[in-house]
Amino acid sequence: MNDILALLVTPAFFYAILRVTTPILFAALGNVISSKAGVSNIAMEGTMLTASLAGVLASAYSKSALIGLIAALLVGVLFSAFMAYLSLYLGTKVIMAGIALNLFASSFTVYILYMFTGQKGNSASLASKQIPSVKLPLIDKIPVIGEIFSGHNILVYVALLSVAAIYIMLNKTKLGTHIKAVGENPAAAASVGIKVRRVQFTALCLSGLLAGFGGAYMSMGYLSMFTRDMIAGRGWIAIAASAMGRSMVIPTTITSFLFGIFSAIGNVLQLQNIPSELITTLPYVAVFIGIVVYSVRKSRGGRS
Amino acid sequence: MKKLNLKAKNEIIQILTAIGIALVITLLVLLGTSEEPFYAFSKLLTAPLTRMRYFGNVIELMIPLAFAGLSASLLFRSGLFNMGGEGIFYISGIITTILATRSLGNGFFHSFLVILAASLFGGLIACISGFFKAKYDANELVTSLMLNTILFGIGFYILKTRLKDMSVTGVASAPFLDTAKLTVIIPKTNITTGFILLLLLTGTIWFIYKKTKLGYMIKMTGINKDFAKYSGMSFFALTMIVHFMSGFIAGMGSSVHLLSMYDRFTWSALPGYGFDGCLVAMLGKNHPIGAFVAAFGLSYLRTGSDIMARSTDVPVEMVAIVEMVLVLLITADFIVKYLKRKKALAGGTVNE
Repeated sequence: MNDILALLVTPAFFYAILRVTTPILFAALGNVISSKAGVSNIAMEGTMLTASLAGVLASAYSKSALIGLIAALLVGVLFSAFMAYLSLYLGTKVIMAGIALNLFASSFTVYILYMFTGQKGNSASLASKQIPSVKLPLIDKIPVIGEIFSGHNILVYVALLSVAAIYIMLNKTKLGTHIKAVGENPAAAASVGIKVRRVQFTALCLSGLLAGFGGAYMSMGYLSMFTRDMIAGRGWIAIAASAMGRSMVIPTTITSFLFGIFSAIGNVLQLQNIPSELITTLPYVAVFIGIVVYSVRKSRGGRS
Repeated sequence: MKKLNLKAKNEIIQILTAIGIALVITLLVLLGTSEEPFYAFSKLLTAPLTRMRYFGNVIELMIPLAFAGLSASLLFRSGLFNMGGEGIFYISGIITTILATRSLGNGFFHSFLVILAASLFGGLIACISGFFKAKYDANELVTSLMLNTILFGIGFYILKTRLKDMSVTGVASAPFLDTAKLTVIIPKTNITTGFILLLLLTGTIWFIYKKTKLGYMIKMTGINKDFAKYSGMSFFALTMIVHFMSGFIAGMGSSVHLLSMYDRFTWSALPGYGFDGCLVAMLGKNHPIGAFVAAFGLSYLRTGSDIMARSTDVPVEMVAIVEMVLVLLITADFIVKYLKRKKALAGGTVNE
């Protein structure tokens, strides 16, 4: 027991939390934006997966990590724009479109991977680029703190900065006000001249952009290649985190970190001969309990 | 009655248009990526009909898809977006394995008992998400997705520690007893009595929708979620019943599939039928007969693409493109809208 505890208070453990939380945080923030606009984007899993493949392919052929990142973001936005078009203009329910696109992405990425590399498992044969890590000046010199916060992939910092950026966007800008108005009462928003569908379209595209960041981080930061189904449920966890955070930026961020903490604990415990099958369910149990506790409290509060 | 016919006619036109567009897109994709596009295209479309064994494969694969589709369509129809079929398929498979590897009586009785137990267990598990949704309005989409992974973790742990057969390599249970396995009804295929069970179930669900108060409540609640409240039945009861039924069907599907197609339990990952069930439900427009037909169509397509992948340079994953185009075109209502508009322009009446 003491051994485990010793492993959990090391700077390396806290460093790992930031590392594993990043993709979830991106996707969860994306879901926050779309939920605020009243159209929950549940295609996070598929968007991230497609974007992560796009990043790898573009960076391998252009020999530039930056172009890879741009491609991943572009694909993330296009993927969401497609879903937005289907649900807002062609009448597919957004949840249905999301489910279909997630399933589609899982096979389609393998198809594309096979077309480019002849492999179905991973993109190891491609010389894809990685988005670099950076040492933070000054912070790097502080003992413990430096070890935890410095030396991460650039996208880890981008994720942390997006928390602030999205908070400001939602609360201080015209677009943010419109998004919230549309989500709370579309009819009222329309009556004051807000173009409801256009705002929802924009919100979905923004959520796709964030999923694109998450996807690029997975294949060009967290790992250095694309592997089949590499998002492995992170998109779903992100949606859960956003649901638990009631689609608010700060609570969602905290919930994403909670998941990251449980994942990191799981990773440590797995090395300790505790059955890994049960350990890997830990974060999911945590999210499940979190949602239930929140709902119970809300319904009790509503009644009294 | 005339109204209904027109609606049905529009839907049939929509589905046929969707299939037409999907085929054109498939051909375009093949032209762009394959060395022998026309050969691959004809393989995809006709191969399952060329041999009895292939056609048997279509039906064999269709059975779990149809069960999963019926399970999902019940939930979707009542406006509940629960995607927990995946985890239920796995955990009911574990229950099936526990009972199918033990001697529990003769052929009929043993398989009956196994399927019943797996179905009941599936129903109870589905009630977990159902309960928190019904009583506290916890988002069932999220809880069911979390449960999928949790159930898989627990199930796989049981498999590895309690059920694993040490004499075989890889993770697999002891073999199912012959008394538990379902009887083949069409020689030279693996089509078993499970298919009859599926027909009975599809008929039952159809009957419930068409002729009972419960079926009416399910449909109306899907259209307006406050309906149950207004009409005297509690939303709690309706949600619980629908979840139980849905889990029951998923558990049955898992059990029937395992006892028909497997000699032992070997799933070391979630099997994917839960999510495929959502596709089937969407393609079948949340209707039991629709789900039956959609499961057949999807299975035909997948069997065809599997055979195509073996004899051409096109990977089997190509089928995802066809599936997505089909699902999106069928769930979107723009074709129906277009038909209505055309009719309105021509001076006919518009049925909304």
